[in-house]
Amino acid sequence: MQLTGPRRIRESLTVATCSLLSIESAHAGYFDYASLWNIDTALLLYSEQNRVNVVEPVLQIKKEISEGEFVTVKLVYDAMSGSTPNGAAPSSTAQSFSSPSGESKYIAAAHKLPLVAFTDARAAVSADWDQPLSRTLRGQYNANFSRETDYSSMGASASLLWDVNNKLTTLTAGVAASFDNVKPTGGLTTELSPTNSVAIATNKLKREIEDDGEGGGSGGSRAKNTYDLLVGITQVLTRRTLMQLNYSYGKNTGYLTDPYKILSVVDGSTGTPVTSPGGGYLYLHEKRPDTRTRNTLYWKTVYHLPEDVIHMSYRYYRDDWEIKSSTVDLTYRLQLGAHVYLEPHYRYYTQTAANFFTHAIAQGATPVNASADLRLAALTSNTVGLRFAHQLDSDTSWGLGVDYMRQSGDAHPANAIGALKNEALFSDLKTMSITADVSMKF
Amino acid sequence: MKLVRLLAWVPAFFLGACALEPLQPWDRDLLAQEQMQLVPHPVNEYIAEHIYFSKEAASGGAGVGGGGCGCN
Repeated sequence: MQLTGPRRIRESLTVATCSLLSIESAHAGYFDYASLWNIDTALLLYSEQNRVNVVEPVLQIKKEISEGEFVTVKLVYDAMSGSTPNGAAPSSTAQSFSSPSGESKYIAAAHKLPLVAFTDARAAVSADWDQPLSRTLRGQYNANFSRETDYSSMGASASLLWDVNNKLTTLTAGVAASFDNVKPTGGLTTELSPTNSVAIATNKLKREIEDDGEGGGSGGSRAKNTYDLLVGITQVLTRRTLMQLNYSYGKNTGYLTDPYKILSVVDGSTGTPVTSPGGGYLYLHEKRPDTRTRNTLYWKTVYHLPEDVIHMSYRYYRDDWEIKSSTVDLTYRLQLGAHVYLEPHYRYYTQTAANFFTHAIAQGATPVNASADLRLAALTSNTVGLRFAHQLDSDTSWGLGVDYMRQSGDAHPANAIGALKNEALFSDLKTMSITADVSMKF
Repeated sequence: MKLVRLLAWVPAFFLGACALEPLQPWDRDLLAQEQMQLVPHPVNEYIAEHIYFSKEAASGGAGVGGGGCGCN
Protein backbone atom coordinates (compact mmCIF):
# COMPACT_ATOMS: atom_id res chain seq x y z
CA MET A 1 0.00 0.00 0.00
CA GLN A 2 2.84 2.33 0.83
CA LEU A 3 4.41 1.69 -2.58
CA THR A 4 1.30 1.92 -4.71
CA GLY A 5 -0.26 4.97 -2.98
CA PRO A 6 2.12 7.63 -4.36
CA ARG A 7 2.03 6.05 -7.79
CA ARG A 8 -1.77 6.29 -7.89
CA ILE A 9 -1.61 9.86 -6.77
CA ARG A 10 0.99 10.59 -9.46
CA GLU A 11 -1.19 8.94 -12.09
CA SER A 12 -4.25 10.84 -10.90
CA LEU A 13 -2.33 14.11 -11.00
CA THR A 14 -1.09 13.34 -14.50
CA VAL A 15 -4.63 12.67 -15.69
CA ALA A 16 -5.91 15.79 -13.96
CA THR A 17 -3.11 17.94 -15.42
CA CYS A 18 -3.74 16.66 -18.91
CA SER A 19 -7.45 17.28 -18.50
CA LEU A 20 -6.85 20.84 -17.34
CA LEU A 21 -4.42 21.50 -20.17
CA SER A 22 -6.92 20.23 -22.70
CA ILE A 23 -9.61 22.43 -21.16
CA GLU A 24 -7.26 25.41 -21.27
CA SER A 25 -6.43 24.63 -24.86
CA ALA A 26 -10.08 24.48 -25.84
CA HIS A 27 -10.77 27.64 -23.85
CA ALA A 28 -8.00 29.50 -25.63
CA GLY A 29 -9.33 28.34 -28.97
CA TYR A 30 -12.87 29.51 -28.28
CA PHE A 31 -11.95 32.82 -26.68
CA ASP A 32 -9.13 33.72 -29.01
CA TYR A 33 -9.40 37.41 -28.24
CA ALA A 34 -6.22 38.16 -30.11
CA SER A 35 -8.09 37.51 -33.34
CA LEU A 36 -11.11 39.66 -32.45
CA TRP A 37 -11.81 43.24 -33.34
CA ASN A 38 -14.27 45.03 -31.08
CA ILE A 39 -16.19 47.70 -32.91
CA ASP A 40 -18.44 50.03 -30.94
CA THR A 41 -20.40 52.64 -32.79
CA ALA A 42 -22.98 55.14 -31.64
CA LEU A 43 -24.95 57.99 -33.09
CA LEU A 44 -26.20 60.84 -30.92
CA LEU A 45 -29.03 63.12 -31.95
CA TYR A 46 -29.14 65.94 -29.43
CA SER A 47 -31.66 68.74 -29.41
CA GLU A 48 -32.27 71.67 -27.07
CA GLN A 49 -35.65 73.32 -27.16
CA ASN A 50 -35.20 76.49 -29.27
CA ARG A 51 -31.44 76.28 -29.01
CA VAL A 52 -28.63 73.95 -30.07
CA ASN A 53 -28.85 70.79 -32.18
CA VAL A 54 -26.00 68.30 -32.40
CA VAL A 55 -25.40 65.21 -34.49
CA GLU A 56 -22.50 63.14 -33.17
CA PRO A 57 -21.35 59.84 -34.66
CA VAL A 58 -18.72 57.90 -32.66
CA LEU A 59 -16.64 54.96 -33.81
CA GLN A 60 -14.43 53.01 -31.41
CA ILE A 61 -12.18 50.18 -32.49
CA LYS A 62 -10.51 47.97 -29.86
CA LYS A 63 -8.05 45.19 -30.46
CA GLU A 64 -6.21 42.86 -28.11
CA ILE A 65 -2.74 42.86 -29.59
CA SER A 66 -1.26 40.40 -27.11
CA GLU A 67 -2.54 38.69 -23.99
CA GLY A 68 -4.05 41.37 -21.76
CA GLU A 69 -2.74 44.21 -23.93
CA PHE A 70 -5.30 46.37 -25.72
CA VAL A 71 -5.17 49.23 -28.18
CA THR A 72 -8.26 51.38 -28.68
CA VAL A 73 -8.85 54.12 -31.23
CA LYS A 74 -11.87 56.40 -31.07
CA LEU A 75 -13.10 58.78 -33.75
CA VAL A 76 -15.75 61.41 -33.03
CA TYR A 77 -17.41 64.00 -35.20
CA ASP A 78 -19.81 66.70 -33.95
CA ALA A 79 -21.99 68.83 -36.19
CA MET A 80 -23.54 71.65 -34.17
CA SER A 81 -26.05 74.32 -35.12
CA GLY A 82 -28.72 76.47 -33.53
CA SER A 83 -28.71 79.31 -31.04
CA THR A 84 -27.04 79.88 -27.71
CA PRO A 85 -27.33 82.71 -25.16
CA ASN A 86 -24.80 85.45 -25.90
CA GLY A 87 -24.71 86.62 -22.26
CA ALA A 88 -26.66 89.87 -22.63
CA ALA A 89 -29.54 90.27 -20.19
CA PRO A 90 -33.17 90.49 -21.36
CA SER A 91 -34.57 93.99 -21.54
CA SER A 92 -37.95 95.69 -21.67
CA THR A 93 -37.01 96.86 -25.16
CA ALA A 94 -35.70 94.97 -28.17
CA GLN A 95 -31.94 94.68 -28.43
CA SER A 96 -30.00 94.71 -31.65
CA PHE A 97 -26.65 93.08 -32.20
CA SER A 98 -25.13 93.88 -35.54
CA SER A 99 -21.88 93.88 -37.40
CA PRO A 100 -20.26 97.21 -38.23
CA SER A 101 -20.43 96.31 -41.89
CA GLY A 102 -24.11 95.53 -41.52
CA GLU A 103 -23.59 92.16 -43.19
CA SER A 104 -25.43 90.37 -40.48
CA LYS A 105 -27.41 91.24 -37.42
CA TYR A 106 -30.02 89.78 -35.18
CA ILE A 107 -32.55 91.22 -32.81
CA ALA A 108 -33.56 89.91 -29.43
CA ALA A 109 -37.19 90.73 -28.75
CA ALA A 110 -38.18 92.60 -25.60
CA HIS A 111 -38.15 90.42 -22.47
CA LYS A 112 -36.42 87.59 -24.36
CA LEU A 113 -33.03 86.12 -23.50
CA PRO A 114 -30.73 87.20 -26.37
CA LEU A 115 -29.63 84.18 -28.39
CA VAL A 116 -27.12 84.10 -31.20
CA ALA A 117 -27.21 81.62 -34.07
CA PHE A 118 -24.13 79.59 -34.93
CA THR A 119 -22.86 76.52 -36.68
CA ASP A 120 -19.69 74.62 -35.87
CA ALA A 121 -18.09 71.23 -36.34
CA ARG A 122 -15.64 69.26 -34.25
CA ALA A 123 -13.51 66.26 -35.12
CA ALA A 124 -11.70 64.31 -32.42
CA VAL A 125 -9.44 61.28 -32.36
CA SER A 126 -8.09 59.48 -29.33
CA ALA A 127 -5.90 56.43 -28.84
CA ASP A 128 -5.62 54.28 -25.72
CA TRP A 129 -3.02 51.67 -24.87
CA ASP A 130 -3.71 49.33 -21.98
CA GLN A 131 -0.64 47.30 -21.11
CA PRO A 132 0.11 44.75 -18.35
CA LEU A 133 3.42 45.67 -16.71
CA SER A 134 3.53 42.74 -14.31
CA ARG A 135 1.14 40.22 -12.78
CA THR A 136 -0.40 42.94 -10.63
CA LEU A 137 0.47 46.18 -12.40
CA ARG A 138 -1.13 47.74 -15.46
CA GLY A 139 -0.34 50.89 -17.40
CA GLN A 140 -3.01 52.80 -19.30
CA TYR A 141 -1.99 55.57 -21.67
CA ASN A 142 -4.09 57.92 -23.76
CA ALA A 143 -3.41 60.54 -26.40
CA ASN A 144 -6.14 62.70 -27.88
CA PHE A 145 -6.54 65.46 -30.39
CA SER A 146 -9.55 67.50 -31.41
CA ARG A 147 -10.17 70.40 -33.70
CA GLU A 148 -12.99 72.87 -34.18
CA THR A 149 -13.16 75.94 -36.38
CA ASP A 150 -11.90 78.12 -33.57
CA TYR A 151 -10.50 75.66 -31.02
CA SER A 152 -7.96 72.87 -30.95
CA SER A 153 -6.92 70.54 -28.17
CA MET A 154 -4.04 68.11 -27.74
CA GLY A 155 -3.82 66.00 -24.61
CA ALA A 156 -2.27 62.92 -23.06
CA SER A 157 -2.75 60.91 -19.90
CA ALA A 158 -1.10 58.00 -18.11
CA SER A 159 -2.47 55.83 -15.30
CA LEU A 160 -1.01 53.04 -13.23
CA LEU A 161 -3.32 50.39 -11.77
CA TRP A 162 -1.94 48.18 -9.02
CA ASP A 163 -3.84 45.08 -7.88
CA VAL A 164 -3.29 44.22 -4.22
CA ASN A 165 -5.06 42.23 -1.51
CA ASN A 166 -5.46 39.12 -3.66
CA LYS A 167 -6.74 41.32 -6.51
CA LEU A 168 -9.68 42.49 -4.44
CA THR A 169 -8.27 45.99 -4.30
CA THR A 170 -6.96 48.11 -7.16
CA LEU A 171 -5.02 51.28 -6.45
CA THR A 172 -4.98 53.83 -9.24
CA ALA A 173 -2.80 56.87 -9.89
CA GLY A 174 -3.14 58.97 -13.01
CA VAL A 175 -1.90 62.20 -14.57
CA ALA A 176 -3.24 64.09 -17.56
CA ALA A 177 -2.34 67.24 -19.43
CA SER A 178 -4.15 69.04 -22.21
CA PHE A 179 -2.84 71.90 -24.30
CA ASP A 180 -5.63 73.80 -26.00
CA ASN A 181 -5.62 76.72 -28.35
CA VAL A 182 -8.46 79.23 -28.60
CA LYS A 183 -8.62 81.11 -31.88
CA PRO A 184 -11.87 83.07 -32.00
CA THR A 185 -13.39 83.64 -35.39
CA GLY A 186 -12.91 87.30 -36.23
CA GLY A 187 -9.95 87.66 -33.88
CA LEU A 188 -9.32 87.92 -30.18
CA THR A 189 -11.18 90.58 -28.28
CA THR A 190 -10.03 92.58 -25.29
CA GLU A 191 -11.68 91.29 -22.14
CA LEU A 192 -14.14 93.73 -20.53
CA SER A 193 -13.88 96.08 -23.52
CA PRO A 194 -17.05 97.46 -25.21
CA THR A 195 -18.54 95.36 -27.94
CA ASN A 196 -20.42 98.13 -29.69
CA SER A 197 -18.60 97.30 -32.89
CA VAL A 198 -18.84 93.56 -32.59
CA ALA A 199 -20.26 91.41 -35.36
CA ILE A 200 -22.08 88.20 -34.64
CA ALA A 201 -22.82 86.45 -37.89
CA THR A 202 -25.25 83.62 -38.31
CA ASN A 203 -22.68 81.42 -39.99
CA LYS A 204 -20.67 81.18 -36.79
CA LEU A 205 -20.22 83.21 -33.65
CA LYS A 206 -18.28 85.48 -35.92
CA ARG A 207 -16.91 88.75 -34.62
CA GLU A 208 -15.55 91.57 -36.65
CA ILE A 209 -13.92 94.05 -34.37
CA GLU A 210 -13.85 97.64 -35.47
CA ASP A 211 -10.51 99.13 -34.67
CA ASP A 212 -11.69 101.80 -32.27
CA GLY A 213 -8.64 101.59 -30.04
CA GLU A 214 -10.51 99.70 -27.36
CA GLY A 215 -11.88 96.57 -28.87
CA GLY A 216 -8.71 94.87 -30.06
CA GLY A 217 -9.52 92.45 -32.84
CA SER A 218 -6.10 91.95 -34.32
CA GLY A 219 -6.63 88.18 -34.67
CA GLY A 220 -4.38 85.63 -33.04
CA SER A 221 -4.92 82.89 -30.50
CA ARG A 222 -4.48 82.18 -26.81
CA ALA A 223 -3.36 79.10 -24.95
CA LYS A 224 -5.39 77.23 -22.36
CA ASN A 225 -3.76 74.38 -20.45
CA THR A 226 -5.34 71.75 -18.23
CA TYR A 227 -3.53 69.49 -15.74
CA ASP A 228 -5.10 66.70 -13.70
CA LEU A 229 -3.94 64.30 -11.01
CA LEU A 230 -6.05 61.39 -9.80
CA VAL A 231 -5.68 58.81 -7.07
CA GLY A 232 -8.27 56.14 -6.57
CA ILE A 233 -9.14 52.84 -5.01
CA THR A 234 -11.45 50.17 -6.36
CA GLN A 235 -12.57 47.51 -3.90
CA VAL A 236 -14.41 44.24 -4.41
CA LEU A 237 -16.55 44.19 -1.29
CA THR A 238 -18.52 41.02 -1.89
CA ARG A 239 -19.27 38.67 -4.76
CA ARG A 240 -21.99 41.15 -5.75
CA THR A 241 -20.52 44.51 -4.82
CA LEU A 242 -17.84 46.66 -6.38
CA MET A 243 -16.92 50.08 -5.07
CA GLN A 244 -14.70 52.85 -6.37
CA LEU A 245 -13.47 56.04 -4.77
CA ASN A 246 -11.41 58.66 -6.61
CA TYR A 247 -9.95 61.98 -5.62
CA SER A 248 -8.75 64.27 -8.36
CA TYR A 249 -7.02 67.61 -8.38
CA GLY A 250 -7.00 69.74 -11.49
CA LYS A 251 -5.71 73.07 -12.61
CA ASN A 252 -6.57 75.18 -15.64
CA THR A 253 -4.33 78.03 -16.71
CA GLY A 254 -4.35 80.54 -19.53
CA TYR A 255 -7.25 81.96 -21.50
CA LEU A 256 -10.33 80.57 -19.72
CA THR A 257 -12.66 83.30 -21.01
CA ASP A 258 -15.37 82.43 -23.51
CA PRO A 259 -14.50 84.84 -26.33
CA TYR A 260 -18.09 84.97 -27.57
CA LYS A 261 -19.88 85.81 -24.34
CA ILE A 262 -20.81 89.39 -23.54
CA LEU A 263 -22.48 91.26 -20.65
CA SER A 264 -25.04 94.04 -20.57
CA VAL A 265 -24.07 97.31 -18.90
CA VAL A 266 -27.04 98.78 -17.00
CA ASP A 267 -27.75 101.80 -14.88
CA GLY A 268 -26.76 100.93 -11.31
CA SER A 269 -30.08 102.03 -9.81
CA THR A 270 -32.74 101.65 -12.51
CA GLY A 271 -31.31 98.55 -14.21
CA THR A 272 -32.08 99.94 -17.65
CA PRO A 273 -29.54 99.38 -20.43
CA VAL A 274 -26.87 102.02 -20.86
CA THR A 275 -26.56 103.53 -24.30
CA SER A 276 -23.25 103.17 -26.07
CA PRO A 277 -21.56 106.31 -27.44
CA GLY A 278 -21.53 104.59 -30.84
CA GLY A 279 -25.29 103.95 -30.75
CA GLY A 280 -27.28 101.03 -29.44
CA TYR A 281 -26.80 99.57 -26.00
CA LEU A 282 -23.46 99.07 -24.28
CA TYR A 283 -22.10 95.56 -23.84
CA LEU A 284 -18.73 94.33 -22.61
CA HIS A 285 -16.79 91.18 -23.46
CA GLU A 286 -16.65 88.86 -20.50
CA LYS A 287 -13.50 88.11 -18.50
CA ARG A 288 -12.72 85.06 -16.36
CA PRO A 289 -9.73 84.47 -14.07
CA ASP A 290 -6.72 82.96 -15.82
CA THR A 291 -6.40 80.08 -13.36
CA ARG A 292 -8.86 77.61 -11.94
CA THR A 293 -8.10 74.96 -9.32
CA ARG A 294 -10.51 72.04 -9.06
CA ASN A 295 -11.01 69.31 -6.44
CA THR A 296 -13.26 66.34 -7.05
CA LEU A 297 -14.33 63.41 -4.95
CA TYR A 298 -16.04 60.62 -6.86
CA TRP A 299 -17.68 57.52 -5.42
CA LYS A 300 -19.28 54.71 -7.35
CA THR A 301 -20.87 51.42 -6.37
CA VAL A 302 -22.04 48.61 -8.60
CA TYR A 303 -24.33 46.06 -7.00
CA HIS A 304 -25.59 42.83 -8.55
CA LEU A 305 -29.08 41.83 -7.48
CA PRO A 306 -30.19 38.26 -8.28
CA GLU A 307 -30.79 39.27 -11.90
CA ASP A 308 -30.51 43.05 -12.21
CA VAL A 309 -27.61 45.42 -11.61
CA ILE A 310 -27.55 48.86 -9.99
CA HIS A 311 -24.96 51.53 -10.73
CA MET A 312 -24.86 54.40 -8.22
CA SER A 313 -22.44 57.30 -8.12
CA TYR A 314 -21.94 60.53 -6.26
CA ARG A 315 -19.54 63.32 -7.14
CA TYR A 316 -18.61 66.30 -5.03
CA TYR A 317 -16.82 69.08 -6.87
CA ARG A 318 -15.48 72.43 -5.80
CA ASP A 319 -13.12 74.94 -7.33
CA ASP A 320 -11.56 78.27 -6.47
CA TRP A 321 -14.16 80.09 -8.56
CA GLU A 322 -16.35 79.11 -5.59
CA ILE A 323 -18.39 76.69 -7.64
CA LYS A 324 -19.54 73.76 -5.53
CA SER A 325 -21.42 70.93 -7.11
CA SER A 326 -23.03 67.61 -6.25
CA THR A 327 -24.02 64.96 -8.74
CA VAL A 328 -26.00 61.80 -8.07
CA ASP A 329 -26.35 59.23 -10.83
CA LEU A 330 -28.46 56.07 -10.72
CA THR A 331 -28.75 53.43 -13.42
CA TYR A 332 -30.79 50.27 -13.00
CA ARG A 333 -30.22 47.44 -15.43
CA LEU A 334 -33.46 45.52 -15.59
CA GLN A 335 -32.84 42.13 -17.15
CA LEU A 336 -35.92 41.24 -19.19
CA GLY A 337 -34.54 37.99 -20.52
CA ALA A 338 -31.26 36.29 -21.26
CA HIS A 339 -30.48 38.71 -24.09
CA VAL A 340 -32.65 41.77 -23.51
CA TYR A 341 -32.55 44.46 -20.87
CA LEU A 342 -33.87 47.93 -20.05
CA GLU A 343 -31.83 50.62 -18.31
CA PRO A 344 -33.78 53.39 -16.57
CA HIS A 345 -31.47 56.24 -15.61
CA TYR A 346 -31.77 59.24 -13.29
CA ARG A 347 -29.24 61.97 -12.68
CA TYR A 348 -29.39 64.92 -10.34
CA TYR A 349 -26.89 67.76 -10.65
CA THR A 350 -26.60 71.00 -8.76
CA GLN A 351 -24.02 73.78 -8.66
CA THR A 352 -23.49 77.12 -6.99
CA ALA A 353 -22.55 80.18 -9.04
CA ALA A 354 -19.02 81.28 -9.86
CA ASN A 355 -18.00 84.22 -7.69
CA PHE A 356 -17.69 86.47 -10.76
CA PHE A 357 -20.99 85.45 -12.31
CA THR A 358 -23.40 88.34 -12.81
CA HIS A 359 -26.40 88.89 -15.05
CA ALA A 360 -25.28 92.43 -15.86
CA ILE A 361 -22.66 95.03 -14.93
CA ALA A 362 -23.67 98.26 -13.21
CA GLN A 363 -22.33 101.30 -15.05
CA GLY A 364 -19.12 102.57 -13.48
CA ALA A 365 -18.62 99.46 -11.37
CA THR A 366 -16.87 97.07 -13.73
CA PRO A 367 -15.40 94.20 -11.67
CA VAL A 368 -12.03 92.54 -12.24
CA ASN A 369 -13.73 89.44 -13.65
CA ALA A 370 -17.28 89.09 -14.92
CA SER A 371 -19.29 86.59 -16.89
CA ALA A 372 -23.00 86.20 -17.58
CA ASP A 373 -22.56 82.70 -18.99
CA LEU A 374 -25.53 80.84 -17.52
CA ARG A 375 -23.40 77.69 -17.21
CA LEU A 376 -21.61 79.53 -14.39
CA ALA A 377 -24.87 80.46 -12.64
CA ALA A 378 -26.40 78.55 -9.73
CA LEU A 379 -28.44 75.83 -11.39
CA THR A 380 -29.96 72.41 -10.99
CA SER A 381 -30.36 69.70 -13.61
CA ASN A 382 -32.56 66.65 -13.60
CA THR A 383 -32.04 63.98 -16.22
CA VAL A 384 -34.23 60.95 -16.80
CA GLY A 385 -33.45 58.34 -19.41
CA LEU A 386 -34.29 54.90 -20.66
CA ARG A 387 -32.16 52.58 -22.78
CA PHE A 388 -33.21 49.34 -24.39
CA ALA A 389 -30.52 46.86 -25.43
CA HIS A 390 -30.60 43.53 -27.21
CA GLN A 391 -27.83 40.96 -27.57
CA LEU A 392 -28.40 39.47 -31.03
CA ASP A 393 -25.71 36.81 -30.70
CA SER A 394 -22.43 36.35 -28.88
CA ASP A 395 -20.73 38.93 -31.12
CA THR A 396 -23.40 41.53 -31.83
CA SER A 397 -25.59 43.77 -29.72
CA TRP A 398 -27.46 47.02 -30.20
CA GLY A 399 -29.14 49.58 -28.01
CA LEU A 400 -31.38 52.61 -28.22
CA GLY A 401 -31.55 55.22 -25.48
CA VAL A 402 -33.48 58.42 -24.84
CA ASP A 403 -32.54 61.02 -22.23
CA TYR A 404 -34.43 64.14 -21.23
CA MET A 405 -32.66 66.83 -19.22
CA ARG A 406 -34.11 69.95 -17.66
CA GLN A 407 -31.77 72.59 -16.32
CA SER A 408 -33.31 75.21 -14.03
CA GLY A 409 -32.00 78.29 -12.31
CA ASP A 410 -33.18 81.38 -10.48
CA ALA A 411 -34.93 83.56 -13.06
CA HIS A 412 -35.52 86.37 -10.56
CA PRO A 413 -32.51 86.59 -8.22
CA ALA A 414 -32.84 88.92 -5.27
CA ASN A 415 -29.72 90.86 -6.24
CA ALA A 416 -30.98 91.78 -9.72
CA ILE A 417 -30.61 95.48 -10.42
CA GLY A 418 -33.76 97.63 -10.79
CA ALA A 419 -35.75 96.79 -13.92
CA LEU A 420 -33.90 93.49 -14.30
CA LYS A 421 -36.03 92.18 -11.43
CA ASN A 422 -38.91 92.14 -13.92
CA GLU A 423 -37.04 90.06 -16.50
CA ALA A 424 -36.62 86.28 -16.56
CA LEU A 425 -32.84 86.22 -16.24
CA PHE A 426 -32.56 82.43 -16.35
CA SER A 427 -34.43 80.55 -18.99
CA ASP A 428 -34.82 76.82 -18.32
CA LEU A 429 -32.93 74.57 -20.71
CA LYS A 430 -34.68 71.44 -21.93
CA THR A 431 -32.72 68.89 -23.91
CA MET A 432 -33.52 65.61 -25.58
CA SER A 433 -30.85 63.07 -26.53
CA ILE A 434 -31.38 59.97 -28.62
CA THR A 435 -28.46 57.56 -28.78
CA ALA A 436 -28.34 54.47 -30.96
CA ASP A 437 -25.42 52.11 -30.51
CA VAL A 438 -24.16 48.91 -32.10
CA SER A 439 -21.34 46.68 -30.83
CA MET A 440 -19.71 43.97 -32.91
CA LYS A 441 -16.87 41.51 -32.55
CA PHE A 442 -15.25 39.84 -35.52
CA MET B 1 -13.16 70.95 7.11
CA LYS B 2 -16.31 69.03 6.23
CA LEU B 3 -14.44 67.49 3.31
CA VAL B 4 -11.50 66.54 5.55
CA ARG B 5 -13.83 64.87 8.06
CA LEU B 6 -15.52 63.02 5.22
CA LEU B 7 -12.19 61.88 3.81
CA ALA B 8 -11.15 60.60 7.24
CA TRP B 9 -13.87 57.95 7.01
CA VAL B 10 -12.62 56.64 3.69
CA PRO B 11 -9.57 54.60 4.82
CA ALA B 12 -11.59 53.25 7.75
CA PHE B 13 -14.22 52.02 5.35
CA PHE B 14 -11.80 50.30 2.98
CA LEU B 15 -9.75 48.80 5.81
CA GLY B 16 -13.01 47.41 7.12
CA ALA B 17 -13.63 45.89 3.69
CA CYS B 18 -10.34 43.98 3.97
CA ALA B 19 -11.71 42.17 7.00
CA LEU B 20 -14.49 40.66 4.90
CA GLU B 21 -14.44 37.01 3.91
CA PRO B 22 -11.82 36.59 1.17
CA LEU B 23 -13.38 36.18 -2.25
CA GLN B 24 -12.26 33.04 -4.04
CA PRO B 25 -11.60 32.99 -7.80
CA TRP B 26 -14.76 30.93 -8.38
CA ASP B 27 -16.74 33.65 -6.64
CA ARG B 28 -15.86 36.20 -9.30
CA ASP B 29 -18.39 35.01 -11.86
CA LEU B 30 -20.72 37.97 -11.40
CA LEU B 31 -17.90 40.47 -11.19
CA ALA B 32 -16.64 39.31 -14.59
CA GLN B 33 -19.92 40.20 -16.30
CA GLU B 34 -20.05 43.21 -18.57
CA GLN B 35 -22.78 44.86 -16.50
CA MET B 36 -20.57 44.72 -13.39
CA GLN B 37 -17.81 46.81 -14.99
CA LEU B 38 -17.46 50.33 -13.63
CA VAL B 39 -18.12 51.63 -17.15
CA PRO B 40 -20.08 48.95 -19.04
CA HIS B 41 -20.62 51.06 -22.19
CA PRO B 42 -17.64 53.40 -22.71
CA VAL B 43 -18.94 54.99 -25.91
CA ASN B 44 -22.35 55.81 -24.41
CA GLU B 45 -20.61 57.11 -21.31
CA TYR B 46 -18.37 59.33 -23.44
CA ILE B 47 -21.39 60.82 -25.21
CA ALA B 48 -23.25 61.51 -21.97
CA GLU B 49 -20.23 63.08 -20.29
CA HIS B 50 -19.60 65.26 -23.33
CA ILE B 51 -23.13 66.67 -23.04
CA TYR B 52 -22.80 67.35 -19.31
CA PHE B 53 -19.35 68.88 -19.81
CA SER B 54 -20.72 71.37 -22.32
CA LYS B 55 -23.68 72.41 -20.14
CA GLU B 56 -22.34 72.42 -16.58
CA ALA B 57 -19.47 74.03 -14.67
CA ALA B 58 -18.31 70.87 -12.88
CA SER B 59 -16.77 67.94 -14.71
CA GLY B 60 -14.52 64.90 -14.31
CA GLY B 61 -14.00 62.66 -11.32
CA ALA B 62 -14.33 59.20 -12.84
CA GLY B 63 -10.93 59.23 -14.50
CA VAL B 64 -8.23 61.32 -16.13
CA GLY B 65 -7.81 62.33 -19.73
CA GLY B 66 -10.41 62.52 -22.40
CA GLY B 67 -10.30 65.46 -24.71
CA GLY B 68 -10.76 69.20 -24.94
CA CYS B 69 -13.73 71.04 -26.32
CA GLY B 70 -14.57 74.66 -27.05
CA CYS B 71 -18.19 73.87 -26.25
CA ASN B 72 -19.86 77.03 -27.47
